[in-house]
Amino acid sequence: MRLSRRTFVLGSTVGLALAGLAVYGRKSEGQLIRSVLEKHLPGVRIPDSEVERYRRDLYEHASKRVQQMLPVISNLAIAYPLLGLPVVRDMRDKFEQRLVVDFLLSSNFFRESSVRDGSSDIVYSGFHTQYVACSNPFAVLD
Amino acid sequence: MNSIDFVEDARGGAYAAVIVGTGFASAFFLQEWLRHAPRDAATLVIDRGRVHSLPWQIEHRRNSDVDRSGTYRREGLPNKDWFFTIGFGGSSSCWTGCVPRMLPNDFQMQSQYGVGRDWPIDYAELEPYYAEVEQTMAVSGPSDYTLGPRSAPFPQPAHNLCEPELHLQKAYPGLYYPQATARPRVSVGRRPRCCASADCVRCPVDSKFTIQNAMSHVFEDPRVSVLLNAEVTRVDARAGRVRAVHYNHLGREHSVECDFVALGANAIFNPAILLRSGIEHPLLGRRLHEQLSTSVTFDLDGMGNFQGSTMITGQGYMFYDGPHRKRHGGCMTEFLNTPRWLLRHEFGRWTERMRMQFVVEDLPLEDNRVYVDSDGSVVASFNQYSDYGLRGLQKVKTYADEIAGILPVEKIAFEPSFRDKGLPRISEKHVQGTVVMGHSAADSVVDRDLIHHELRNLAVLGSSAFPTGAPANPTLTLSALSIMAARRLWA
Repeated sequence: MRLSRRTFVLGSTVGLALAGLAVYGRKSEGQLIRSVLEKHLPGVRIPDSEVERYRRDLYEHASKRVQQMLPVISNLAIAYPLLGLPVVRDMRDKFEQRLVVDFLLSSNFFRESSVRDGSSDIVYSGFHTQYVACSNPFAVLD
Repeated sequence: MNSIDFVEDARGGAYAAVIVGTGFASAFFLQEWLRHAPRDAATLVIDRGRVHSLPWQIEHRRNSDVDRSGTYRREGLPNKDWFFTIGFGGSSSCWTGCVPRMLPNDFQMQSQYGVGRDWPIDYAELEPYYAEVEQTMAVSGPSDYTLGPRSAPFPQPAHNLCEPELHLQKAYPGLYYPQATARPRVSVGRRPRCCASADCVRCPVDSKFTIQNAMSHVFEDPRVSVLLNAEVTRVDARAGRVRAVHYNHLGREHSVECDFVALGANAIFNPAILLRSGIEHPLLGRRLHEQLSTSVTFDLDGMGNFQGSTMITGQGYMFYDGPHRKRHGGCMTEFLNTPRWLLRHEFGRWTERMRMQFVVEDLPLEDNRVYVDSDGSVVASFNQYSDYGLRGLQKVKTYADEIAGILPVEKIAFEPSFRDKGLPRISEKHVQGTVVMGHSAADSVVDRDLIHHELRNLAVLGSSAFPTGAPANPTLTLSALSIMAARRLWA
């Protein structure tokens, strides 16, 4: 049987989606957030309580893009592997970057080396909005 | 603020002066005006907006309850907008506090490079006023600045640069500096030092200079009354003088007589007020322009970033001035120290990224203009950037490659609109041109002192007077012009 281009693309997409499902499954938002954080923070100890507090704050403080993507991705886990397609990979990367960076800046990660090396739990300390004063943890002020 | 005489209506009788607007141009003009005016010089300040405290602004996530987009109509390029704030203090509420001086050659583009036109004043004339504004704003800046003569050092020490910038400083000696900024390095008055918060548009610690936090005392002068929520619509001009100012307050038309008027509305509304008043000049409203800008993100390999002590740390002049300005616009760079938007998510490489903004001058074109429509609405019609400016913007790719040759850059990312279409960002938040200054009525609307050539008791303040727009931010220059105009008025 000859494989048409259309069938090939369709089959590949379905295959990717199924593979994605196998990886991500149908996730709750908390599970999705955890999986993204664990993917980018290997070895960092992230208690469920901190993920849950972060998840709750996201709906109040995160960018609209993150707020809009979070329920879509978690309810339609099949969509997540599709985001691996080149055309939308950039969107997925930005989503993950936002999720990870907002979590790190909202925590003691950059202040405590023991958190970074995995010897103590990360502590989420409230969402890092643009209105948090003196919020650049790398700034040398003196 | 508590001592300001806020009034609900103008009192009977004439005022010595009516000042329109409460932003940079008006506030610096008013301050100097009051230094010279007689003790009984009743002065009315009219502003279209209201007072919004910083806590209000942070709570509501905006600087004003006036929606800027509803105050005028855009026409022409769909991806072009003009940003400003209407409210007490004007755009000092939303600005980021960048106050570079213009360079000496910026005032002489025609005679130096054969493009644009020369200003009717030069750097040397404006320099003492630059120093005064820097003092009032408590500007932080470098002690080794060499790009133009200075009569006084910066009032505050320079901010710390980020690590990649130290390498740029070495690569471009005398052309890369800590930014001149009204975000103070050390506390001054009630303003704490800048501590590199993520947002200057509504600074969470009220550090950057604003009219509210550093110049509200000017409006507390007993000679001054402030009428808010009132839109000046036109002036009465007869026999070579302005006699009265008309304004709309709470849906009703009013007028107030006065001996002198200073318009500091902005470069969209200054010409609109004059056009509605029947004041005619071939250049009135024309030459609307601002800089073209785009940002470039560099992923670094093994070099950390974000150590600087303020939000925009460095200012680059390596592509700014020189013979290339005969062919294309000069470019100033700004270095953004904003980890919130730039941190990487690769483990351990969090800080290996930097972003620079490239700000290119545009040449004013007469077809880009502000006019008043038949229904009375104000229209900002912007149909094209100059080829000169667009050529300058295209050079950003070359500039980025040059910087990538200095730093350990592994990837360069341009903004999509620039990468795909060669277009700048939607706005650089500086509205300029439209009431051009010059030597005579034949080539300009106002003179070198910002006084209308025909109506000698009318000053038109702000960047609306700019004959050309430099790569540098306009705020310091327009503020210095206001002081100069008020002082010369009394000289």
